[in-house]
Amino acid sequence: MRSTWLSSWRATALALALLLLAGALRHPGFLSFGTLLDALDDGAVLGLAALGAMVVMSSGGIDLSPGAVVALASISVASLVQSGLPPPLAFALAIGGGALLGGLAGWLIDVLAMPAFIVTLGAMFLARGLALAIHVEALPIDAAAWGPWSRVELPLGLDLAACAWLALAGLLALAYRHARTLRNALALGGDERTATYFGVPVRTTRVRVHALGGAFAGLAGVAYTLYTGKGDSTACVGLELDAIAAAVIGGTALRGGEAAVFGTVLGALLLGLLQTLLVFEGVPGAGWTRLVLGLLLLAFVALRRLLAGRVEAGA
Amino acid sequence: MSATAPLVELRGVSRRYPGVRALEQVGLELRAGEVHALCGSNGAGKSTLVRLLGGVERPDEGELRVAGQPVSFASPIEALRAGIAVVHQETHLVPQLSVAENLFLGRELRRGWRLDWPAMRARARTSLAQLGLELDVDRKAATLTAALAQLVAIARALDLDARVLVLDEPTSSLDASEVERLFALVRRLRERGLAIVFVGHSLEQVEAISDTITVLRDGRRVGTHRARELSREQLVASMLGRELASATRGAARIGGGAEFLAARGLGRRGAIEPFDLAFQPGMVVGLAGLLGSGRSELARALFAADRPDQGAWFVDGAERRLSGPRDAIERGLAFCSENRKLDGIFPSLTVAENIAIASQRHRSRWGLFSRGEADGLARASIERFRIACSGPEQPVGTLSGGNQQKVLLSRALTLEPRLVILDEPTRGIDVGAKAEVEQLVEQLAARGTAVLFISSALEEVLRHAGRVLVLRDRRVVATLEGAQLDAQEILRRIAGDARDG
Repeated sequence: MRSTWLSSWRATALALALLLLAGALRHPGFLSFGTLLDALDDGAVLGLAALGAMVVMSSGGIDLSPGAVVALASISVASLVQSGLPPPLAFALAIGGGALLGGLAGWLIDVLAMPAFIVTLGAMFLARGLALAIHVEALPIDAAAWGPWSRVELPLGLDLAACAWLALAGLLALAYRHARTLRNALALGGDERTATYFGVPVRTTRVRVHALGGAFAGLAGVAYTLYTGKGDSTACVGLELDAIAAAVIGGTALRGGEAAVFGTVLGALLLGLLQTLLVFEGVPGAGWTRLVLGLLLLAFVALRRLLAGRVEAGA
Repeated sequence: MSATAPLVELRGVSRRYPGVRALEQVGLELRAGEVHALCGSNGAGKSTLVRLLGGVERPDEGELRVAGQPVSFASPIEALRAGIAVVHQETHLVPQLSVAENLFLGRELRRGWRLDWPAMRARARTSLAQLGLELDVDRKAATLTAALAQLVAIARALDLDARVLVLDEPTSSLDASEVERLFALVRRLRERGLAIVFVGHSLEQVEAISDTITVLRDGRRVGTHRARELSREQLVASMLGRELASATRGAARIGGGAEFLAARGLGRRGAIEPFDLAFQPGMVVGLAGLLGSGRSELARALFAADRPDQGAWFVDGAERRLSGPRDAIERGLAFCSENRKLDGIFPSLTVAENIAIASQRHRSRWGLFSRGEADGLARASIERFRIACSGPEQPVGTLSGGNQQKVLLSRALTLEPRLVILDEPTRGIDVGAKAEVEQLVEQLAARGTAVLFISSALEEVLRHAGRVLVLRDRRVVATLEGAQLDAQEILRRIAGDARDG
């Protein structure tokens, strides 16, 4: 596993370094501690969703629901807090709800023997519909209980969500080494038939993996609410694709069997910094960001393919 | 040895899949310190039996006993807990995980809240060392050769304290020295008192390793014998001959006229040794041999589906290089694959679409293909081959195996080929459909089409072929014609008792 992590996040780290270097050369103010902290704060929502996407992908699955779950979680937190629920309880409910929805999707995928793509597409519409049913537009939070949560100062000036993101990434990396469920997830992603023959509980694993992915999406929704101070049922359309892109750039194999926790963190940061740099460059609109992102994603996939080819030839 | 009570016993076990009886009232006894070989041709039921033993599937009827107690395995892990470990064919390890991770997958050792990787790595090293393997346990399984991966899978089974070790075609991807190494290990394990099940095709290997041999045919147990009391010829006969005693020579289609297609020295390394083969119109050539003897490989090389690396084709006397199946079709060859599901039919397409797909290129105008024409073609085939379906619009996936086979045959014949290659056309279809397929072979030959007929059922080959090529170990070992064509002679050649030639 260690060699895998190394080879997977190395390229991402290199790209990130090149991006920072390019930014520093062109804009004196770009490479500063502040920029990096901002990137972490701004990247928490995508970063958390990307970790969830990576977990599901490592088991050989895919999850199209995170964007909608983020919206559902954020609008749920907003409306629950507005109706007087203490924020921590609202957070827990949102994260638990995400896990429940994810677990349900995982169970359906296994029981119906349906492609994850289709089942989680259904979950995506379900979550988005629920979010819209709760509240059709943005819902700013102005309840008194929200006050202390609206700006939580942590050491280094990091946001709460950014801290949670980095801490959870550390925990997740550890869990891939020490938690049976995630070991089994890797086996499932590697070769489902062999995993079955070796006695891996396939259904339990699949349900738990998708529940974990859903929990990360719910957490990303909480992060979104903390970041914007509102819930929004129309937010984060297409975030799941950014999350998958971040995971792939970070070195996650779409066919499963490998986890790239640190790479996925770097991948999410890379996407965020790319956006920042383009803003510095004065490139207008989101169009250019997407275009560059597309090129970057394809470059990474091609690079990985070439590296993999060399590994096989060298073996 | 046989006085001991069996470790594992199957009693009257049956397993059916839609339209197929995979196992029918099969009994089996596995004893400690004994290597038990399972023999049989394609579809005999070996794989099903292995899946039942390993807890991958459950029998519809009958019971499985471990140490005298009836058991029912809900999953492979329950079979493992009962001491039955299966090393499945071609699926040995999870490629992305390391050797140690594979060894302990699903049963990792814990220390407190975490998994004890140092302990697992150490124990992995010990259990590999016990098999005489020195291997970096952090190496990824993907980088191991098939032989090493298999040994690691065996080490895993032994580390689970398995008392019964089932090896499903363990030698299929090993070279001779690797086989020898595996067998040495199997013998050591036998001495340690394990019951070992060996599924294999090579007669030499079965003879070399087994104490007891059970032969399966069409899902039934033909017999269980002490290995040393069974001659190789008897073994082959019981594997292949359904009613060999009554096998009748058919019309013996030797054809007539000029050779229109010949293969000279065609071969492909690792698949089939160079062979010669020539066809006259109306000639039926049969291929006889055990599974894995190179029958399909010969057919695929002839059709250029797997590009031969030596030799040449001669079409109407002129040397040609066939670049692939499309080229072969162009020259009048047609191929019905042995594996309908994998590379034959398109299950979700309709009968008409499946039949028309091969001839689209010839019949279309400006890239468009008339649907009416496809329907017409399909209706003619449905009538001619008596395909039981609701009409040309029925998806092929919903037809029975026999009817799918007929659709496949119809497709091959719409191009009016000069040579049709039929690879196991009668496998897995019911008796009626078998008879019809065989009838079709006769019709084709009578009309002047040459046929290359491959079947595990020797009596079918004998019924139709005017010339039979016997294959063994990926080599054509005999070409029999006329008076030489007789069941005993073919069995002898397959068994390898007689001088080759």
